Amino acid sequence: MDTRLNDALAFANYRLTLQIQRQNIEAQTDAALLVSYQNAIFKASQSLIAFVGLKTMRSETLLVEDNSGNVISIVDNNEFLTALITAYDAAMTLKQQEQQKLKSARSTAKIVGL
Amino acid sequence: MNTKGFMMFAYNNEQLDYTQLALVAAYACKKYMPDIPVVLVTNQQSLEHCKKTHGSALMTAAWDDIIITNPEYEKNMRLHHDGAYHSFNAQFTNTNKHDIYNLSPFDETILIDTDYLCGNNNLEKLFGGQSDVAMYRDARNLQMQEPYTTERWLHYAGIRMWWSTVVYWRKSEEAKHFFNIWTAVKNNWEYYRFLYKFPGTLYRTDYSASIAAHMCNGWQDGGFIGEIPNYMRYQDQRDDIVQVKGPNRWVMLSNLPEEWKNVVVEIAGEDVHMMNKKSILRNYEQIMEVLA
Repeated sequence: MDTRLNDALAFANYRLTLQIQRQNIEAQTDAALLVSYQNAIFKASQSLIAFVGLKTMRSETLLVEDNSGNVISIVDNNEFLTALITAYDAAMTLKQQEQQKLKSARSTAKIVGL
Repeated sequence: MNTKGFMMFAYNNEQLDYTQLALVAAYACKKYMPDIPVVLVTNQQSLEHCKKTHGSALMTAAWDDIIITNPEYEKNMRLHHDGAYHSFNAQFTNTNKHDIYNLSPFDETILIDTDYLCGNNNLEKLFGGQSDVAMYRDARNLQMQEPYTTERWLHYAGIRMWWSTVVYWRKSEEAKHFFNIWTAVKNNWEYYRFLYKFPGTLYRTDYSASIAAHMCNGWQDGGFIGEIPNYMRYQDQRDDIVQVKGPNRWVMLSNLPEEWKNVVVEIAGEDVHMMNKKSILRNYEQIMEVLA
């Protein structure tokens, strides 16, 4: 095969692997963002954290939809906020580490850590 | 206080040592959820084989209890693939999966297949949750693509499929109805196969659980079954393990029918349904080493 075509196809393979790996990091992060609280499962998203933070600051009753759309009345706003932030921070730290590893990977084998 | 635990079925056949797979699955559960007991359901023959080949020490560390059942033999041959280039037929004993409701000693149970390897503690978050029964609705393969249509729908004009790879339930009237209908579907498989128009003759618990979910919900979609968050990540039977890098970190080869589309991927921090069972068995030593 023509060397130029060979190189181009190898590059295409590298791009595909890189793209899948980026999606895998997203999946890993999504798994780490799940929080179990008051018998319900929540995703520690930025918007949920901001909403809970605002309601906590205003000392208001907190009704939040869980991952399946059930409305949960949160008993301890502060504790819930801490649980969400802890999960969020852990997930983002993990994501950052994985992204850093990916940034320096310049070959298909390096992307998957081989 | 509610009791809770994991359960798994393992009946060996001439091709696959399901008890060996169950050892790996149990070790993975214990790695991330050490406080949750794991119970094995098997038959005498498989148990004896397991004792002989793996020893009691390993078994005691994996399972908190073992329940012996001897399901009636029903021919259910399944075509398995081991990577892209090898396939084999083997008896698939799954016809008593619905009995788990009565077999479980727990108030809340998560039934997992022996090829489902936990990579985090997300499953334990289902305990005490809002749903009486929960399963995966969506799945993604190694390349983050959705499964083929036949793995998402029972028929192109039919109902959506629920994966019975992981089934959570709480002992309740609702869960009892669900398992009773599952039993009825299993006992009248030909009729339901005709009614729901799905292909093939293999008894699939995914299909019977999906039909039970549909019927329990008043012959409509959604609501009755809780969705396990995110989606089920799976390695296809044609895929393979390239390297075991850690207890929840794998380098795998995604094998598509078109060879030029093959790609290596690294999966980390997720539960993975390893459909290529022989790939687990081939890498048994390394996997157990990182899980221990």
